[in-house]
Amino acid sequence: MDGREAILKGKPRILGTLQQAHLKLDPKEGFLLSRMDGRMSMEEILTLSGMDREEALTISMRLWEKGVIVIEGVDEESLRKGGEAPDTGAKGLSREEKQKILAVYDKLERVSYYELLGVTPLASRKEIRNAYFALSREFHPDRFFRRDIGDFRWRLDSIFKKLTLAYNVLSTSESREEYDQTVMPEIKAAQERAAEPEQGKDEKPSDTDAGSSPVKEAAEVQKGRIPKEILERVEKAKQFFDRGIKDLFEKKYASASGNFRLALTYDPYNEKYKKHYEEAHEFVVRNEMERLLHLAESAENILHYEEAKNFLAKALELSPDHGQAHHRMARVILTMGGDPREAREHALKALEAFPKDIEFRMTLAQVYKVAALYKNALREYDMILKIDPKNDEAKAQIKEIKALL
Amino acid sequence: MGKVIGIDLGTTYSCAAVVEDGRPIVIPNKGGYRTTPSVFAVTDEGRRLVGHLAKRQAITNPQNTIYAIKRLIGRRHDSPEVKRAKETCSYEIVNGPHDDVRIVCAGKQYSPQELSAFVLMEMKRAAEEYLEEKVSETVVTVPAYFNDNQRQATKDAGKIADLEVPRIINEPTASALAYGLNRKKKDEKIAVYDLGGGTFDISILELGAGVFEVLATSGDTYLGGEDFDARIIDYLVQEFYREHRVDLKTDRLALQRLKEASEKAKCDLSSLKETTINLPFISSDSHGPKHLIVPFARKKLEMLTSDLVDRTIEVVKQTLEECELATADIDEVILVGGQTRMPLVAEAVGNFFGKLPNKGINPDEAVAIGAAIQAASLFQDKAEMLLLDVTPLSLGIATYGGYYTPIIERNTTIPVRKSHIFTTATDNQTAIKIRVLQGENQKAEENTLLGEFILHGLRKAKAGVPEIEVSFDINADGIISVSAKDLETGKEQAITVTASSGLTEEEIRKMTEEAKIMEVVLKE
Repeated sequence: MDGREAILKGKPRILGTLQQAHLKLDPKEGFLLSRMDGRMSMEEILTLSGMDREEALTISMRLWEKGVIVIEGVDEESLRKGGEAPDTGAKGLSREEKQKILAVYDKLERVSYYELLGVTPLASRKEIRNAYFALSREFHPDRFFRRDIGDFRWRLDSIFKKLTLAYNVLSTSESREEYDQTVMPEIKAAQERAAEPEQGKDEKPSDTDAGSSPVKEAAEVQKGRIPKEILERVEKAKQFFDRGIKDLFEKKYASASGNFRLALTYDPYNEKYKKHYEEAHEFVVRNEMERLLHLAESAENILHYEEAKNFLAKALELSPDHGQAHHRMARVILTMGGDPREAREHALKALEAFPKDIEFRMTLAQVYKVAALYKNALREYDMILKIDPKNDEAKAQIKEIKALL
Repeated sequence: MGKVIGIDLGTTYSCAAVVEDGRPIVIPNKGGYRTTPSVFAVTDEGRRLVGHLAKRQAITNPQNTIYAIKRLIGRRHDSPEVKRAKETCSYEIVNGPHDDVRIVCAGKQYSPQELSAFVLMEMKRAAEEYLEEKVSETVVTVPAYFNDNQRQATKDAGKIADLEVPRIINEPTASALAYGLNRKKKDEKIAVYDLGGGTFDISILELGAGVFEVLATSGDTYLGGEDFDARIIDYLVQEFYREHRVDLKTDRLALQRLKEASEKAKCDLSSLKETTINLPFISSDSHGPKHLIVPFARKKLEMLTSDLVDRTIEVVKQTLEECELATADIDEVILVGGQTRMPLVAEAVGNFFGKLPNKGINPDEAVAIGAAIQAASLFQDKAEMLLLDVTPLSLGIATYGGYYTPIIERNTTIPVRKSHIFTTATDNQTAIKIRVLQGENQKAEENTLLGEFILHGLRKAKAGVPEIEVSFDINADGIISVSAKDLETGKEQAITVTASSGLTEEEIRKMTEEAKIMEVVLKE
């Protein structure tokens, strides 16, 4: 699968609050960009855009490469598979540097000043200052002096300006107090609202709280104090989370895991989302493993070894350290007379997971025997006897190999 | 790319330094001196001289020897500083074509940028000889109080000297950089007290984790060692008049000798308690030649100049108050500039802060060393230190009634973006004029005008109804852009403020060509 295929599955959205005026986009790029809302999938956008499909795909890939958009629901790597992107400009930056800059830029408008500086709301002035200095050393535009960094110049400018603003606000007690009292409750409340979806509306009807007055809010947004984006993102996160819960009740675990992950993407600091995602994800992986192992076993039973191997390979892709799957793999390869080196790899991995498992070690010993590595085989059988001195099978094998030697 | 050097382009002396193998080194000039007088002269035979040679013949050629040009660079001809210079300088200052000034030297008019360029070229040549490679870029330092026009003029001087100036940094900041080199790990607040030949600056810096932050910077562009000299000259003139009834002030030749002698006596009294100023044949009248012989004690010098020192301490006090710090909050005090060698200065600063000032750095070289460190760190991939630069003066716009509203306060870390909402002053106003100003005075006209533009097409409305957002944006290179946006219609007007050094591009190009020809002549 190359990047162009991968992008189809994702939902593109504009990174951070992009100052579009800074970008040198042509009308087609601008048009496509205006369709990308983080809700429609790329496939849908292509269908609705009425543009030439190939061209639209190329433009979308380019927007992604430039760091203008992110593709939700698709991981970096599969997008990269199309080969190293012919990056337009910014030759003076490594890929890691670009990713680092984009990651910070993306969260500028949606996290609190504390999160931006990577400190807790309890941080001392000194901690705040040190955090600011450390970040300055990474993101000050002078760090990239005379380097060809193209479009990243203004991103760095924005990052540094925001860092400085955060530092200035938090480093004098008056402005910090004001920020804590006016802006932080908004952010926290928004996050809490999103984190308590089950309790719903009947929780507290307190509209007396000045923070939630729409007039004040609008005024605050105008002043740029409360990033509107934070509220929007938190709201989106909540929607995904609710969908995930619904999925759970309908036993659509894979979908639930996906929705929880999206919720977490929009609201990365929400512990509740994180826990739900991790649990659902683990559950999905476990289920899928069971299914694949079962399929492999059925295939084995009817002597379809190649098919069994494929199922096992998929299982191992999902859970690379799964001892059982490795062991089954080694057995299948042995049985079908496959490459003993491959069998050995899997047998060793299985033992890595369960070093005391006699069955697994028997398989490894057998692999060595088949490969005519008799000394290794003897060593493994001896080991088995140390764990289980009454193992007749091991004793018999030792006798047999000694005779061969 | 060649090495990037750092140059302290001083009022009286200049100094160049470079970082080699991680160590800052002061570049000596051809004569082996570590500092070069910022003096340019044309001799009777038409030879051009720069540096020590120029300074040495100053007494015999006062009208065509140009010094302290830094006081005129980037200034308007009607500014009080220029008026003052016209009274005190031994060379002729005339009005220039762009409200700026020209200096007449051997019948030819020079801009301050050109004259500064001659000094820069001398530094550049010394550096190239020392490093044995071409030097094409330099960080140059300026006093903290320099406005954008003066900074731009300094950059243009570089251009004329065929030197690119990627960064201009403040002199006290540079000194702190020099000082911080060995102490990167420590967190401290430093006060840099810089009393040079022509200017006084005080900066409060905070350093930690290899980052320098300027908390405050302030000063007086017209207070320096030369004012101390002037006090001595005045005293000598008075003494001489009392004895001989001859006013030496009207005699340029005598004035130059007095200046030399005063400077020397002042330096001597940094280590001696008493000296004698001896100028034979300084004047003559119908009775014959007159000699000036005046015994001069450190006590006398201190009496003559203590108010100047008090003035600097007053500025220090205000600066500390501005950033809400007490003297006890300052961990280190460093002295920079030749005038700080005077015991009274060190004593006064020490008394004010309640701790002994640090003398770890050679006061004449610290600024150049700092400039070299900043130059090196810019081009170094994983530099140890980072300088967070600040705006030296507030930036804002002119508002109704001739007032000035700052939008970006002085000492704000750059890059920065700030905006403010303004409205109309009269009913049915359809356009507003945005005048971009720099300075601290409440009255608009007292500040420096950096540029102006007009936002048209406002909807007719009652005064106070339209909302116009004015945003200031300064990038890391210090380039200022200003935009005005009508929040109702979304209409926007913007300008990039190019500080005016008083010279047009074409003039700079021509001067660069002329300077090149001159360089050939000098190399013979």
